[in-house]
Amino acid sequence: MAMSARDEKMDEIELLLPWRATGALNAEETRRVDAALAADAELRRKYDLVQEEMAESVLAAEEFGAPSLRARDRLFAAIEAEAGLRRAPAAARSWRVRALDFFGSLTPGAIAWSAAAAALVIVLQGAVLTRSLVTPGGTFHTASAPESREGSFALVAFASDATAQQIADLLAAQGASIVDGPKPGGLYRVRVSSKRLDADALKAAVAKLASRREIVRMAVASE
Amino acid sequence: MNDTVPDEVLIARIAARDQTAMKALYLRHQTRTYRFLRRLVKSAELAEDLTGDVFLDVWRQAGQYEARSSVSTWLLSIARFKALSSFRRKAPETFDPETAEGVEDETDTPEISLQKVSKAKAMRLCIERLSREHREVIDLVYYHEKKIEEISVMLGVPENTVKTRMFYARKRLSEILREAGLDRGWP
Repeated sequence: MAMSARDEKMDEIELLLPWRATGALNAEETRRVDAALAADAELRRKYDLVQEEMAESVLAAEEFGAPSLRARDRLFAAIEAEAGLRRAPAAARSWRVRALDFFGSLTPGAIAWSAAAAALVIVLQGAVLTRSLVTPGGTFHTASAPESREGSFALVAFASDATAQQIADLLAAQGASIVDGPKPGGLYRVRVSSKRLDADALKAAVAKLASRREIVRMAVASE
Repeated sequence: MNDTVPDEVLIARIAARDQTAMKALYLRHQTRTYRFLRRLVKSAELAEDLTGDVFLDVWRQAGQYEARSSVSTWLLSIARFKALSSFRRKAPETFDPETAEGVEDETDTPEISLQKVSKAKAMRLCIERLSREHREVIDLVYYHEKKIEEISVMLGVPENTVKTRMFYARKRLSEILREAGLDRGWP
């Protein structure tokens, strides 16, 4: 028997019920499922079964407990051993070399300026350029936030095929740093000077950035 | 290090060899990673070993995190790869992922009878009886609360396959429950 259009629609809705129960649907799908649930008692009964399964699945997973302290100690002993081997040569290298090592370890795909990958660059650059480094004791602290409001800024979009190395070199050469982003449109807020520049000086600094077209897709002065 | 530091920031710090960030990430994700592995490999000891292997990989390869998925999904993907590798090591000549995924396990699961256990307990035991493929998708959806697109990337299958796999896993779960004496009236 051929399914009616309504049946097919309901089947699609039924497939989505588990994700409705966990809140993992987008707004449009959630609206569609909720509308169908409001109109169909049989679908609500099936949704009750989904919720029952979800509750028991969670409880079943929780019964597994957690890994032992022994496992944690073993892991961090292995990490400490590896860190100890790397620490001496790393300490002799400059902060900039270490930052570039990290950028270099990312693949081109990683630096295609998907939001989170770019966030990694910001974290590292923000930390490095404000001299927030990993201390000898292994702790990490950042001092970039209090400084981020001082200076002169531009909104910059980088070329999609620019490498992290190119960007790091460009920013370092011009004394600039990323302080925020990515914003809609792939824009980053870049501090072009630690001082408050007058309009002409800011325009010149932004033009200098924008002149590197193989790296910078767009740059405009920003408050 | 407080709980509000995003996972992506921890990964960046780990890439800079920050052990404090590594400890924070481990504390945040060790339990879920371990439970996912327990669901897949069933052995507590093996799951614990593989959990350690997952986080050691994170320590070594944090710089290669590509942010195509959330950190938690990335961790589960590594865990899944570790589990599949362990299956291959266990039976390298006979392992066939295509068939192994679909085989239900009745060997180490006690007889399920509603006269002996509660309905809730019966459902948990029945989940254990499902094939690895079905256990996995149920765990990813219900416990790990992963989106359809995230599971699609993790398992390397189309999103529609994720939806239908979940449907058939649920259907099979109901059938096993019915065989144990609990008819849910569906399917």
